[in-house]
Amino acid sequence: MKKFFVLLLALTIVIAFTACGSTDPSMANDEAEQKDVVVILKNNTVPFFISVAEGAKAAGEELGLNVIVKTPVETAEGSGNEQQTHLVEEAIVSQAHCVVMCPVDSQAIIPAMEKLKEAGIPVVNLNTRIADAGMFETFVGLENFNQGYDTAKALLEGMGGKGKMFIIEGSTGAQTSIDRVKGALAAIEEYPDVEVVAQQSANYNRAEALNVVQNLLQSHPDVNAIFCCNDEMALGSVEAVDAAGKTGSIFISGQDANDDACEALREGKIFVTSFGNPYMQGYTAVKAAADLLNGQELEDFYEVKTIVVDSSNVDTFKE
Amino acid sequence: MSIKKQNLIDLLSRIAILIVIVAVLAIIKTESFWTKDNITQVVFHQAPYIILMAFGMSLAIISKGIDISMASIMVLSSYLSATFFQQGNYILGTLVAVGVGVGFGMANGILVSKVKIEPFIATFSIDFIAIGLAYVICNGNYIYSFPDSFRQLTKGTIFGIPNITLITLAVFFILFIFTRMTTYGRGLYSIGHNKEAARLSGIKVDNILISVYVINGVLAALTGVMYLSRLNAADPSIKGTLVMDSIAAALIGGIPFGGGKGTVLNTVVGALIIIFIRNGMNIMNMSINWQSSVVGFVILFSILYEVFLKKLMANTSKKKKIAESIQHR
Repeated sequence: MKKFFVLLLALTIVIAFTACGSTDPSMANDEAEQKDVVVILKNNTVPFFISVAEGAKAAGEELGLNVIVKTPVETAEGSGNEQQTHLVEEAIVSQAHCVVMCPVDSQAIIPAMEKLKEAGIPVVNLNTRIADAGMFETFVGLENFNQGYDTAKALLEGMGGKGKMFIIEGSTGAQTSIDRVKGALAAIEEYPDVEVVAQQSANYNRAEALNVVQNLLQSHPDVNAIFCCNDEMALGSVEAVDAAGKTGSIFISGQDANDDACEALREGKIFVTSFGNPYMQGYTAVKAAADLLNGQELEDFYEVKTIVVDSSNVDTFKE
Repeated sequence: MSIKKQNLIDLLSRIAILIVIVAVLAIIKTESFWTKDNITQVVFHQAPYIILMAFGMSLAIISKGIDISMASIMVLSSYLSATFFQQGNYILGTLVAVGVGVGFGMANGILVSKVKIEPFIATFSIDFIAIGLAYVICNGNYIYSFPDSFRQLTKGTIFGIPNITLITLAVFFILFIFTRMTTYGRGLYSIGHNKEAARLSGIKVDNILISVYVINGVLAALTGVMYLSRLNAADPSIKGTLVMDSIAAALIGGIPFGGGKGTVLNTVVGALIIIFIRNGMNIMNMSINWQSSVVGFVILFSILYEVFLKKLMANTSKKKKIAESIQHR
């Protein structure tokens, strides 16, 4: 009996490990003449940043740079600043030529940025703005404020410019959530007949959003629209609305245009989301780093445009 | 006062806390909180997940251990089995989910009992292994959209009672009978009180510990599959704060870290307290940060309360003894 259990255990572990054989290890190109660009991202777990990393690596291969992508292990959005600081220190020790920085926390990363400045390593700021503009050469990314504004605007038009609305925020303290909500509120201000009846965080988490929206629907069953700060929460809302039997009568918006959100959009369960073009963000950041290392003049801001995705362009927006 | 009576009073007082919370919310927000719709939603649709996870956590805590890895095992087993469920291959899906749960649970159990690693450290490392594997395998690809028949698991009802509620009830009765009415299960409490004494008195400590963690693995797998059906998606980031929530549920329900005390009924009460606090604060549109603080206060309160209760009982029994000794003179 005991042997059987041990065998079972071994078998499960083997199955679990073979299942992950599909991911090949990133190739390490240590050619002496290649310059090192360290790309520090928020995590390596959500589709968005995996795509950013792919874009950055592709640009590195094209431009002959050695791109090293590093991320904190702490995956919860809004945490991980501590580990990002460590990664910066590692980059200094390994004498990177340039650091592409996508900070979890715009403020708390500044001490680490000061260390980079002391070490004379230039910084390209990616995706989320570092609070002190003196700490980086250029900023590559989208304005989360605009992304929130544009998506909310499309949502508001969809609900006919009047009615009640929930705002589902991301993790408390996450810059992306703060800016997107600000953008959404700016758009809502233009529609005096729209009332935000509840504003709650669901930690960028699908399961939490489901419960939160279910609970909110109890006090506001007559809500017309739900603005969510990412797609996972939008999809959680979709299930809550579905459970209440209100699919189709409540408009839901997400952010990021992940594959599953696009599928829900095609089914008419999500009304609108927006594509932050993460691949292009990663690509452009490394391109800017290459220009910087070649001594070219940089602009202050390389904007990667967001695309509002609705039923009209859901099949074509990625082209 | 007998231990049995003490435990009963302890449990009843926690049920009283639950009733007070519900009553307060019902008075403040009668029209949106105290509706059949809201109460059934909270008790039958939202609570089962945290209750099932907290059952496992409680078993571990009763044995004077802890299981940090449950939520990660849940995520991994649900992600690995998701494709099978999506294709309608329910038998294979169940086998994979349960297999992963049993495998990792067994690993926990062996590490804790045979290798004698502290439960916190053993399950902590398994936690990292499981969630890490889940993220590697997922690589940012969420599995979305499951067949309707699979979604009936959480949507469907039997005689008007939601399936997941029935599942939770069944698990409750099985665990209750296992822990309270079998000698094997009673051994769990002896281990929690004093592992060495239990070993010397002939209780199969290792086997019982291993089965506790295996049960936890199976519970995690079950919860994971239920989440697949509820969320219509496999998404590793749903792990969230489930571990901390289930520890909180056990503590608030009156299962102390000291081990050897409490039943799964305590767990249900604790989980309901947490989920009603969340629900009430959502309905009142209060910030999530307040929700965390309130849950923290309730945990603290329930522990202080326990100390208070213990002292009170010690005092009354002392007085009784003194009174008796006076009478004897």
